[in-house]
Amino acid sequence: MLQAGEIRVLKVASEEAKTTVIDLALGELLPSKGEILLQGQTLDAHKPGSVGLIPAMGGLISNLKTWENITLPLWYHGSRQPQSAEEVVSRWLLELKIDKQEWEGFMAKPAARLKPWERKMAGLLRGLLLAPRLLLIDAGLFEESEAAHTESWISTLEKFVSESAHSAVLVVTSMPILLPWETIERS
Amino acid sequence: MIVAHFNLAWEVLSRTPALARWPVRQVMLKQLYFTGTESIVTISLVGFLVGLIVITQINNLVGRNEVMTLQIMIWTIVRELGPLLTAIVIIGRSSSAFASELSSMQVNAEIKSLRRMAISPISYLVLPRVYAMILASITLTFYFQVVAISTGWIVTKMRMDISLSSQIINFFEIISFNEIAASLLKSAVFGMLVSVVSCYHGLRRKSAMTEVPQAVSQAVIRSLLAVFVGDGIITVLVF
Repeated sequence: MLQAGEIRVLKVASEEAKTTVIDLALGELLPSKGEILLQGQTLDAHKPGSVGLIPAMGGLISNLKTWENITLPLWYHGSRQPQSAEEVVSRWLLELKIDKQEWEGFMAKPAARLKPWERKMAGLLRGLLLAPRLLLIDAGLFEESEAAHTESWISTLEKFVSESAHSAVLVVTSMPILLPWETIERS
Repeated sequence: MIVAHFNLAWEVLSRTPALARWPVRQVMLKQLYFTGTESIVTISLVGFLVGLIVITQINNLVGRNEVMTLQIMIWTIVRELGPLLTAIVIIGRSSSAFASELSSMQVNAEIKSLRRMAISPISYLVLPRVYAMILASITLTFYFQVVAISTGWIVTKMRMDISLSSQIINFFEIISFNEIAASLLKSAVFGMLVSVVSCYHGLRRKSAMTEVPQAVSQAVIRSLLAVFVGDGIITVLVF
């Protein structure tokens, strides 16, 4: 049971099982029986603001710039004003300990030219900006990342859930991974 | 496969209200710039050369018969070559670009990423490309005809010593509204056909980058085929 304000790690048996869990939560697959509940209510994954995913490599669109990638779902679904989005992203960039002078270059860079950790961070920022009720994270996000980056991403996620009245974070992994959150194992 | 193309075209038309979304309009403007504005130099050059070649042949055929010269110019440039050659230039530039871009996005799981953000790839990627190509095709066809016909008038004046003003007055007396409408209809249909065929081949399921060139060549060949078939059908029905 995942409550608002919590972060849990879900360890599943294989990479396929991880994809299935993510697809089920996002409504890409339908459960063969039963229903998926999110904080006690039936999950409507297609409702904007319900479930968000941070893919392992950020899930960016290569012909868009970083800023366009981060704000794409918000603007597509028309759920936030650009001014407000800028404020939220600036706040999380500060939290992620990114130097203010680097912001402009990072945001204007096409996704295809980003380094792997920058792609991951853009995906993370997109998830934080969306602030869905359930933020799913592919644990690949933390794999092969520098310790300093992993540390700042972990503390940012903790700040995100502690400040949010309705959001929870679920990290899905198929590999043993060292994260500071309670792990639920499912074979 | 033809049914799948029609299904895609129908899905695009039924999702037209998505153009109200800001990111969709942004993609449409980018594509309009790429397919339309960036093709102007090529279209100008092709239009000029076609005007020069066609009118030289007409002058050789009918001599100083001004009315006949203008009539043949309307038959060839307005009715046929304008929409057809513009579509061929668009296929060369944009059909291959659409197919390769969408194929790469498919292979790199970017299409899946869009779906996972609850963004329809049809609304976000295909719809703006289709409308941009229809608009660009209509505008470029009109522009092509203006360049080709103007070149024809100038060549006729130089070779046959027929005044420009007389040619312009007679041209607008001879040309009918149906001919202009049919030409614009053709260009709109060609834009629709080329964009749907290109996007269809770009979005077909692929697992490796090696499938991208195949998708591009199929998109180009089938777009050409679709345009010629469409031209044949419209010409038989309208004229």
